[in-house]
This record gives sequence, C-alpha cells and structure tokens, in this order.
Amino acid sequence: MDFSFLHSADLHLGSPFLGLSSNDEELARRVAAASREAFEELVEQAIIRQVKFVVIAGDIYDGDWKDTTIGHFFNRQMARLQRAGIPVYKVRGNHDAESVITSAVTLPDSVKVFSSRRPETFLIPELKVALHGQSFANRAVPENLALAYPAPEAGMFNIGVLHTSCDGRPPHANYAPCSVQQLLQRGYQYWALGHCHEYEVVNSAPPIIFPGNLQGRNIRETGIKGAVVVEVEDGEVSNFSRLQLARIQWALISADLTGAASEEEAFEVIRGEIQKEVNLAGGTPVVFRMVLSGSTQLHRMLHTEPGRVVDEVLAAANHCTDAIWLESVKVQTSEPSTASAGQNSPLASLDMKSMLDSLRESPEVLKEARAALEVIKGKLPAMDLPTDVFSDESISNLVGEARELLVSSGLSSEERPA
Amino acid sequence: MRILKLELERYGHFTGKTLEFRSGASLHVVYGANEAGKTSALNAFADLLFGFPPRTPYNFVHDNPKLLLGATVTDKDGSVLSFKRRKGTSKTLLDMQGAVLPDDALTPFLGLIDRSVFLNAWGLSKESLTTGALQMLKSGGEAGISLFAAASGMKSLIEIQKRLEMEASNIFTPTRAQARTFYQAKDRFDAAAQLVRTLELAIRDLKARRVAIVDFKDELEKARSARGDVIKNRELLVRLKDIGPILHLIASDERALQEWEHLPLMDGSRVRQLREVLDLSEEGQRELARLRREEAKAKDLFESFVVDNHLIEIGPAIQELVGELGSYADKKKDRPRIQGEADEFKEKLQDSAVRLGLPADTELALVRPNEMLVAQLKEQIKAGRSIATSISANAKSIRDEKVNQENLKKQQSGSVPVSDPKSFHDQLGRLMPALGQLKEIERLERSTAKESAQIKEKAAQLSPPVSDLEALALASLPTKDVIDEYRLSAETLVGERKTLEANLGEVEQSLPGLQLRVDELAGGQLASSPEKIAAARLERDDHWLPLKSALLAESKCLTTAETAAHVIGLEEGIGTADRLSDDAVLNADRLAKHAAALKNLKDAQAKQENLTGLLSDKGQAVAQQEKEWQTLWQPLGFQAATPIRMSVWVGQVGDLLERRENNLDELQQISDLKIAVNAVRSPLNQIAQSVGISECEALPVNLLLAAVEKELGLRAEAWQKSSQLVTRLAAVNERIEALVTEKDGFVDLESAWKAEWYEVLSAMHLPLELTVDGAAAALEIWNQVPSFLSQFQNRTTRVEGMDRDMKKFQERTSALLEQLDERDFGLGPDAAIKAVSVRLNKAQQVETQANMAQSSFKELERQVLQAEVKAEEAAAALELLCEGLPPSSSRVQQVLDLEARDAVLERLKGRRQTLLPLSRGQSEEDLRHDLESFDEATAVAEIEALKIQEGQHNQRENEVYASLSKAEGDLAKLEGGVGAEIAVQLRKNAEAELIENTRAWAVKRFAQILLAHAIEQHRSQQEQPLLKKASHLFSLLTANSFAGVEQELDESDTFRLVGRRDADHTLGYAEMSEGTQFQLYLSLRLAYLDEYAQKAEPMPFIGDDLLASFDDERTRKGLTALSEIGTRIQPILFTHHSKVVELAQEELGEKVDVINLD
Repeated sequence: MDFSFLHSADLHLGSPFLGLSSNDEELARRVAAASREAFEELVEQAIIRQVKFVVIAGDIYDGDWKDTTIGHFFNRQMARLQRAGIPVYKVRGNHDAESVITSAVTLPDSVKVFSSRRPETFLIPELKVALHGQSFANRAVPENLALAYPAPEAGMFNIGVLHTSCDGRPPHANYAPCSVQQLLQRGYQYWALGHCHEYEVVNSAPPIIFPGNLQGRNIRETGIKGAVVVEVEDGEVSNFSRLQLARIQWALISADLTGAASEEEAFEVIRGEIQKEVNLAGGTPVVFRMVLSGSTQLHRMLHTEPGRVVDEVLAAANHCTDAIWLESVKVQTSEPSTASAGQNSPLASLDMKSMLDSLRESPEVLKEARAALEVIKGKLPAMDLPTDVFSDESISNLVGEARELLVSSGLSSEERPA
Repeated sequence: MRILKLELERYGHFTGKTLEFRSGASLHVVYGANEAGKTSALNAFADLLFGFPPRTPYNFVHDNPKLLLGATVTDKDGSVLSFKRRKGTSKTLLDMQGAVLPDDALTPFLGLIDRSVFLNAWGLSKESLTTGALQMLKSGGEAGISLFAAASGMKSLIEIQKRLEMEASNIFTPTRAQARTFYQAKDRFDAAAQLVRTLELAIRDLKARRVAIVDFKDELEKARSARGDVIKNRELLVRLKDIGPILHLIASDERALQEWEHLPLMDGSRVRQLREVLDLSEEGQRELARLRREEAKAKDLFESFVVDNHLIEIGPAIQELVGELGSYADKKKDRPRIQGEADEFKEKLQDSAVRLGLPADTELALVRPNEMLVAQLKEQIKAGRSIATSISANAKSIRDEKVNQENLKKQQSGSVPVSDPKSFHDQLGRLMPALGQLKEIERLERSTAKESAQIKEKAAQLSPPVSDLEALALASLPTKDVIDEYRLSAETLVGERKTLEANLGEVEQSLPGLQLRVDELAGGQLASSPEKIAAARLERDDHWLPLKSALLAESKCLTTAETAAHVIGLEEGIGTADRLSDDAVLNADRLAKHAAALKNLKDAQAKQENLTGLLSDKGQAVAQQEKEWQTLWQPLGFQAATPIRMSVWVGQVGDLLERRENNLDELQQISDLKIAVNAVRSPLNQIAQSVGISECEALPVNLLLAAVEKELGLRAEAWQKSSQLVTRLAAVNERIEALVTEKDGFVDLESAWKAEWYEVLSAMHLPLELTVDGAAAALEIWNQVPSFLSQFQNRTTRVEGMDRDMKKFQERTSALLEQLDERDFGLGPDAAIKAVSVRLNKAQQVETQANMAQSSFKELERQVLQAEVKAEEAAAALELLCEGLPPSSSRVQQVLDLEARDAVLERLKGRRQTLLPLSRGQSEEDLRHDLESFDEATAVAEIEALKIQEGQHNQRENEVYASLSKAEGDLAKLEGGVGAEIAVQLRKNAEAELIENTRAWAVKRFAQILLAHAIEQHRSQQEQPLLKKASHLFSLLTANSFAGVEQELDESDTFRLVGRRDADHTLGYAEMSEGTQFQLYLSLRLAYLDEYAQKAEPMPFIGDDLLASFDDERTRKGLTALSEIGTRIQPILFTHHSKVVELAQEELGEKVDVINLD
C-alpha cells in the first residue's frame, strides 16, 4: 500500500532562544512561542497531508519539566493527531530520557513510546509497516543501541527510530554512537534519526536521515528548520522532502566590505546580503547576526561607532522586511594594507599599532585585564554564563578588540600633513 | 629613502612640473608663493608613495584616469628607482616607459611605513607643531605621553584616554548607577527572574489547585443540599397555608348539595338535554303566537289592492312604440337637412355640364369619358407643355449667345495687336544668376559699413585709446608672454622692494632702542673698556719690550735715561692696565652687556646701511624696469599702462584686429560680386532697348533690371488676354450653330403632337380649338363629376327612406289609441304614446304590489301550520324526559334545581383538583387533621425566615461556584498556556545583554590598560640615547639657553620632561615660553626620526611652513637643526615666506637647496 509519514526530531519544547540581547518584549513573546507554534504546524501538516503516522526521534522536551504545562501542550497536539486517526511513534532522547523527565501527563493511546530497556517493535499490519526503536533510559547513553535492533520483518516496510550522534556530529554529544554501515546492515528500508540539529541525508538508499531540529534556537542553528515527509510506494521509499516549519529563521549574514570606500557603498552591500537571506527565508521572520569583514577604509568608523553601525544595519534590514531582528553585529574588518612591525622594530616608536601589538601578549597587561574583568564579573547576577566569556582565550580576544579600538581611535585624528 | 626628483605630470593644477632635489644638500627648501600649489605638491608625496586614495581633491584639472605622478628615489644603499604612479585600484605603479611594476616594488624604499604613519610621523606643519606642543602642555609635560605623542605625531592621546574612560563608565562602574547600561540590563534580568519564579511557583501549585477544585465542588454540593431542605420546609408551610381555604369551600359545597336530596340522581347530560327540550318547547309556543299575528296582517294588505288588467295586457305593444319614439323624432328632425344636400349636389352637376360646354340638363353620367381617354388627354397635355417649354428655352439661348457674340466681336475689333514676350523672358533668365547677386551686394554693403563704424568706436573706447587701428594693424605688438614676463618681473621687484622697506623700517625702528641701551650701559662712568685695556697694555708693552730685549741681550743695551724712561713708562703702563683691568673686573657684567649692546647697535647700523643700499638698488631696478617697459611700447607712440592692463589691452586690440580682417574680407567679396554683375550689363541693355525702354544706358543695373522685369510682365499679361478673346469667340459661334439645329427638331415634334391632340379632343367632345391649359381645365371638371353624381344619389335615397318609416309609426299609434278608446287630441303620435306609457307604468306598479302581498300571506299561512306541529312535538318530548321526576306543576323549576345541583358538583370537582397537587397524596381527612394544628399567622413568619435562609444558602452557593470557575479557569490556563516560557526568554535575553555589556566594557577598559602600558613602555625605552639626541637639538634650537632635556620624577612619582638650564636649574615644560615649548616638541620629533634613521630606512621629512611661528633667530636655529639631521634624513621644508629662503641661504649657504615651485 502506498502511504506517507512524517519524520521529526529534537522539538526541544520549552527551550528559550539564546544570545538575543534585546529587551524587546514582543520579540521575547514571539520567540518563546516559536517552538510550540512550529510543532503545532507540524501537527497541522500531518493532518492536511493525511500522513499515516508520525515518527519523533527523541528530544521532544529540553529537559525535565518545571511544570506540566509543556506536557499538557504536547498531549493536546497528540490528541489532535489521534482525532485525525494518525498514530505517533516516538523514542526518548538524551534531553527527555526516562530518568530525566520525572513528571508525566497521560498521552492518548495512539502515541506509542519505545521502551528504554530493550529495542521494541510496533507493527501496523494494514500498512505492512514495522517500526523498531529504543528510548534513552538516561541522559548519557554511550552504548551502541543500533547493534541490538531486531532483524527486519519480512515483507514489511521496516523503520529504525534512533536518537544518536551516529559516527560523530560535533558539537553534539556523542550518544548511542554507531556507524552508517551498522545501520545499513540492519536491512531496514528507512532510518529515522534524531539528535543532530542539522538536516542531513546520511545515506540516500535506503535513506538514513537526520531531519534537524524543528526550530533553530541560537545563531548556530541557522537556515531552514522543520521535518521530513517520507513517501512510500511498494514497500520502498519513493521520495522524501523537507518541510519548513520553523516560525523564526536564524541567519548568519556575512558582508565583505572590501573596497567599500563610502558608508553608502558599505550599507548597500550589507542591505544586499540581508535581502538575499530574506529571500531565502521566503517570508519566515528572520533573526540574524551580521558579520562585517574585508579590508575597508571604513574600518575605523565601524570600530569606533558601534551604536551607529547597529542602527544602520537594522535600518538596512528593515528596508528588506518588517519581520526581521538583529542578534548582533560582529565587526571583523581590517584596514587596507596594514602592516605591523612588532616590538623590536624601530617603527614601534612611531606607530601605535606596532607598539600595541607588542603588548597584546604581555602578562602584565593580561593580568590587569583579568583583574578588571573580575570586578564586573562580581556584579553579574547568578546565571548560566557561557563557558568562554571569562576564559584566557576570551580575554586575549578582547584585548585584541581593544587594540583595534585604539588603533581606530588614535589614528583618526590626523590624515594629512598639510 | 631620499627623493631626487618629483614629477607632477598631471596633478592638481600642475601639468608637467618637475621638482629636482639636489643630492648632497642637507636641507631642501621648496618655495612657492602660491599656497594651493604648495599643498598639492605636499600631498603629492603621500599619493606618490602610497597610491591615490579612492577620492582625491586633485582631479579638478585632470580627470581621475589621467592623474599621474613620477619620481626618482634612492635608498640608504644607493639603489635608485624611477617610477610613475597613476590613479586606479590596481597596477598603479609603472616604470618610466609605462610598464606595470609589482605593487611591492617600493617596499625596500618604504620599509614598513604605511600612509598614516608617514603622514603622522614624517610630516609636520605649523599647525601640527602647535597642537603637539599643546598636547604636551595638557599632559603637564608628562613624559610618557609627551614622548609618545612627539614620536608618533599623534596629538590626541589625552582625549582618547578620556573618551575611553567615559565610554566605559557609560556601560559600567563598580558603584551601581541607573544610567549605566549594565545595571539597566541587570534590572531587566532581575525582573524577568522574579517573574519566572512567580510563574513557576504558580505552576508548581497545580496539584493544590486541583485539590481546591474538588473541595469547591464538595462545598457547592453541600450548599445546594442545604438550600434544598430550606426550600422543602418553606414549600410545606406555603402549601398548608394555601390548602386551608380550599378545604373550607369544599365543606361549604357539600352542605349546599343537601338541599336537593329529594331529586333523583341524574347525570349532567340528561339535565342538559332536559334544559334544551324545555327551552325548545317554550320557544315553539312563543313563535306560534307571533306567526298568527303576522298572518292576519298580510291578509288585510292583499285584499286592499285594485289592478287595471286590460292596460297591462296591451303593455308590450305600448312598450314597443315607446322604444321607437327616439328614431321617429330623429328622422323628423334630419329630413329637411338631407333634402337640402340633395338639391346642392344637383346644382353642382348642372354647373359642371355648363362648364364643359353641354346643356345644363345633360345627363352627365351618360356622356362621361372612359379612363383610357382621360389618360390619353393627360399624356397629350404633358407632351404639349414639354415641347412648348423646350422651344421657348431654345429661342432664349439663341438670343443670349448672339448678344455674347456681338460683344466679343466688338472687343476684338477695339484691341491693339500684340506679340508673345517669351523670347525676352528667356534671354533675361540666362542673365539672372549674375543679376541675383545684387541683393547680396546690398546686404554686404550694409553690414560692412556697420562693422567698420563699430570697430572704430570700440578702438576709441580702449584704454589707451586707438585712433588709427590701421596703423596698429601694421605695427608689431608685444606678445602676451613678453607682457607676462614684465608683469612677473615687476611684481617680484616691487615685492622685494616692499620687503626691503619693511626690513629697513624694522631696523631703523630698533636703532634708537639699541643706542639707548648702549648709552645706558656706558652710563658715562665706564672708565674701562676692552679697547682701553688693550690700548693700556700696548702702551705697557711698548715700554716692556725694549727693556726685555735689553735684559735678554737680544738687542743693544739701553742708556740709563732710556732705561729709566722705559721703567717709568712700564710702571705707568702696568698701573694703567691693571687699573683698567680691575675696573673691568669690577664692571665685567656691565661691560659684557655694553659690548654686546654695542655690537648689536653696530650690526643694526651695518644692516641699515646694507638695506639702504639694497633698497636704492632695488629702486633703480624698478625704475629701469619701468623704463624698459615704456621703451617696449614706444614704437606705438603712447604711454603704456601697467602690464596687467596692457595684457588685457593687447587681447582687446587682437579681437578688434580680427574683426577688421573679417570686415575687409567681406568688402573684397562685394567687389568680386560687382564685377560679375557688370559683365551682364550689355545684354541687359539690349533686352531693354528691344522692349522699348529708352535711355537705358543711364540707369543703374538694379533699376534697369526692375524696369525690364516690369515691361516684360505687362507684355505677358496683354498677350495672354488677346489669346483668351479669340478662343471665347470661336466657342460662341459653335454654340449658336448647335442651338439652331436643335430648334428645327422641336418644330417637327410639335407637328406630330398636334395631329394626336385633335383626335383626343374630338373623342372627349371638346372643341378642337381648345388650348392645352383649357383641356387641362376640362379634365379637372370631369374628375369632379363622378363624386357629385354619387353624393346626389345618396341624399335622394335617404330622404325617401325617412318618409316611409315615419308614416308606418303614425299608423301603428293610431291603431293602439283606438284599442284604448283614446284620441291623440292633435298632439301627434309621439306625444300620445308617451301619455299611454305613463298610465301603463302606474298600472304595472299596482299589480306588482298586489302580487307581493299575496305571496306573504300564503307563506305565513304555511309557517303557522308548521309551528303548531313543532309545539306539540316539544311538549311530548319534555314529558318523556321528565319521567322519574316527582310530579310538578313547574317543570321549569325542577330543571332549574337540577341545574343548580350540577353546578355545585362541578365546582366541588374543580376545588378538589386544585387541592390535589397541594395535598401531595394526602387525603382530605388527613389534611383536615394536619390543619387542625396549623397556625397561619405563625406560618407566615416562618416562611419569611426560611426565605432569608434560602437567600443565604444561594449566596454561598454562588460564591463557591465563582471560586470553582476561577480555579478551573486558572488551571486550564496553566495547563494550556505557555507557562513561564516568555519570562524565561526575557531572562535569557537579559543574560545575553549583560554578557554583551560585559564584553563592550571590557574592550574599553582593556584599551585604557593597553594605552597606559604602551605609553609607559615607550617612555622607559626611549630614555637613552634618544633624550641625548633631543638634548643636543634642543640646545641647538634654543641657542644654548638650555643644555638639554631630561626626565624628572615629580611629587606624584610621575616622570615629567624638563629643560635643563645649568647644573643646578631645570625648567618644567609648563613654565617654558610658548616658543620654547615648540622648540622642545620639534627637538623630540627630530630626535626620534634621526634615531629611526639609524636603524631603518627613513622617509623624507616634510615640513610645511614649520618655522612660520618662529622669529628670525629661532628660524635660523630651526633651519640649522633640520640641516643637522639632513645627513641621515632628507628634510624638505615647504614655505611661502621668502624670508625663510633668505635665512636658509644665509645660515646654510651651499648646504641648502632652494627649489622654486612657481
């Protein structure tokens, strides 16, 4: 029998967006609702497309619930699918492992959860479909679960459902590792994987697919996010396609300002790059980070007037669309033909850049910088600090930025001898 | 690197300008009066070495792609490179042949220096010198900042420090302040975190909420139950209160029933039947009595009517005649009018016969022509008229054409014979190309005359005026270059003279002061002076040397007298010299100052003398130059104005001469055209004579041409008229001929027509002499005859019919009257019939009324019989129904009793039905029992109390329900909402903001730290040998007023720069005069560059009016200092002060290379 089903994973319901240093409450409201809305859309699409079942390959939740709100939300969506006659097959991943999620909301009978103790098989006789899967019992599962998956059911369409890093997908933690070869050896017609947040076709025939997460939540999770629609004909996958479901799309937009001689030129380049990304998003609201690079005469201005640069980038973005927000602007430009002579060069006396270069690695400077940083660190409230903020490397980078700032500020005072 | 040659090929306003820098010179002074040119040349250095910036202000003459610079440079090792630089984005470096050089070809010459370092460190202007010195002052001479600023050329270190500090503190300070963005973000974080906690707490409380909902439901149930009990009790009391009266009424009814116990029981339907039969019987009796009364009345009425039956019998005949009355009256009225019309038509017929020429009584109907004959006559009339019209028109045309013919013949015989002028036209046409130029000659003559007058006028208006431009055209005028040369030379001389005058004025102004100073120092008491001491010593030596020679036996012995004289002289000499020396020692300081003052005075006087001489020379040079200038213009015979004016004058004269040349060309053109015209004069004369123009030789060509053209025009017109007359006459003759032929045709046609005409007339009985119009009139009469005949016939028939009908009516009327034995009394049949008709109507009305009365009487008779039968039947039925009832005289009363008893029973039944729902199943007996103990008054109070209780229970129930609803709503919201996710997102956003603030602050703070370290490191590294070098230069620049520059620790342990006066004295930077501060800054800067040059490839040092704020003495020292570093660095000083050039030449002689930019 010919049919189609939906494959999704990594919903991470209830997980906030990271890195948005905006105090715009409307934006907060939108992003807070984005993951749920994306999942509602997934359910909507399942019903509209009349798929026969839905597979969720782990990490429905981001962690243990502080309350059952999220559980109730998920339950309501499952109930919609049940009313439409669409069963759901899901495994638990590292984020919603059995030991991690301690609360419970009773889900409809149509939701089948694979056991965490051993691989389990669910059959759908009328479709001749067999689904094999095993949930995570704990947050960390170092074992290769795939090895124990059962042999395929003869004459049926076999689907393997697994939350795994497969053969390694940094920066994702290496859980339930397995090789592509091992998966192929199972002889299944489709592998529905989860865990890796990037869409990836690991193998095309038979398909082994990471659908990616449903909604990007930080600047590392850019581009189209959603699920995969799999079409089956005569017991084989005849086609699979991506379904864009994210309510907000993250974008890392780079603008190379090399050669830009005027601000107008630079912001035209920036606007052009934003427009490209907005076109790609196809109407989905965008949150973006702007990375400015290249060798340009505007280097000094970009470093010394960050507030104005942010305003101009936002203005350029708003010329493209209303549905766009700026995460941050990173200035990585350089001055045309800058040379640095180093500490021992006679130039060090004349050129602040050389002098400052000689001090970048100075232990005294770094020590003083760290002490200064400790002052502000002491004033920070208790919060989840990114690990790299106060690292030596970070301090060194910040000193580098300070050097750029000085060079830009100091040399702007005089241009011509006359 | 040293620059040997700078080529400003196309740059700014320069085109093909080359500046040569003499090798071996220790200072290059580029002198340019034109400041714009100087600035261009300066910037050309940076553009040459580092490329053109994307936007350049130096493209105002040459477009960007054409901008080009060139240079020849050499480095320390003596390598030489010649190259060119064009503007562009790539491949801008070219060799001298234009081939592209690699971008790094200049690297060996530039080292690591980039454009900004070059401009900051290797360039110094008067303004940047001032700013740099001020920067040092702002730092209080703080050594680190001063050294760094002087070395790098950066002038805003303090501002940068302050700005960084301000920007950092806008973000964060250790002390909390709301304005800091860090604390604003922190507040947002705290608020969001608090919201998260609150929401999470609320959500965690879900279980408690669910328990609360169950509790609310229980409580609601209890409240509802309690309210139910109260309602039950209240309802019981209310019921008992309502039942009492009902039971009382029931008892009352039961008592009433006892009155009718003697009557047998009878169901309600039988009683109702009895009532119906009784009512029927009584009604029957009443109806019978009434009918009998009506019957008697009807009989009386019927018998009172008498009917005329005979008249009614013949009524239909009367009615028929009445119906014809209208028709009879109409005919009687119309007959005379119709008879009149018949007579009228008869007359018309008689008239027509007479008009047709027939006897009046002719029966026209018999002699009427048929339709065919009429049509034939119509055709003949039409043909006859057409022929007559044609003949008439033809005759008129012949007459008109003959008149025309006569007129033309008259015109022809009256005109003069003429000939065709075409041959003359052709001859003149051949001459026209030449004669056509006459207009151009006139135009040119007008324009040349006007231009000559204008040129003359303009020449007279020039200054100096030109009276004879022709003479000037032949003379040779000085060229613009020559004039410009004189102008430049005059300007230079006058400028130099002004400078000399100013300098002399300055010197002369200083002389009285210097003299006064000398006089003051001499003070009239100065016994000693170096000159006097020298003189005394000479005098002493004059005595000592002979003695010494004698004593040493180097010369012959002296005589005693001689010896004594020398000894005395020696003693006096020694004494005088010693005294003077002692005096000098005592007044050493004053003496030294006096000597210096005297020297200054003498120097000034020498300078005055020198300047006076120079001024005199310059005056002569100016006069000489003026003389030469006038000599230049002498051949033209007027006094020349200034070179600038004359330069303009020459331009204007040139313009006028050009106009004069053009005018001469046009005059020549007139002359050429006139020759061409005169060549055709002779043939023109011949034509004129041929056409009869006399004395043509005397007329000018243009008038002659006009006369010929006019004559030829007249001749052409006459020739054309004559030709037209002949043509027209021929045409008239032709037309007359055609018309005559046509006339003959018409005569034949008329003859044929007449034959037919007579035939038709005779057939129509018309006279043959009748004209066409007469025949047409007869035809018209015949057309009317049928209509007259028809009308006459119609009227006659109608009169006959009328007479017949009227007679018949009269006969029938008479017959009827006879039947009734009536006469018409002469009123006429119509009146008699009307009278009979009235009588008939009355008789018919009486008959109708009698018939109706009879019918009523018969009907009442029948009804009486029916009523009698019905009354009997009702009485029998009543008796049958009363069977079982006790005998009674009044069946009516018995029925009334039965009905009353039934009504009570029915009411009782209703009461019991009312009681039934209130009794709740209790019997009347039980209820009566209950009521025995029921007190209504107490019950009312009790019911009120229970109502209050119910209200209280109800209120409680509502409250609990509201709480339950809210709790359920809250729960649904919590279960269905997004929980604390928005708050968590806000907290995450605030976290990101805090980190962003932390990073931003750290960058600003780290920049401060870096800057402080950089300055300190620089200071500590530069102590030696740089300060030594700077000391030397500072000493040189200050003419040894300072021995050098040093660093001193102040009370706050900060190193500060000081100038050392001597072993014991130093002077802080802030205490130095402004000029000295400039000198110190310059010393430091030059020392750095010199130091750099010893280690790496240096760049040329470019000074832009660097010494402009220095006085002459300082300028001299400055030039010397620049020259001092010139062995390692190439100093290039741009200036627009000639004084600087002079001083440089005086001070440095051959070492200076002066380059003139103009």
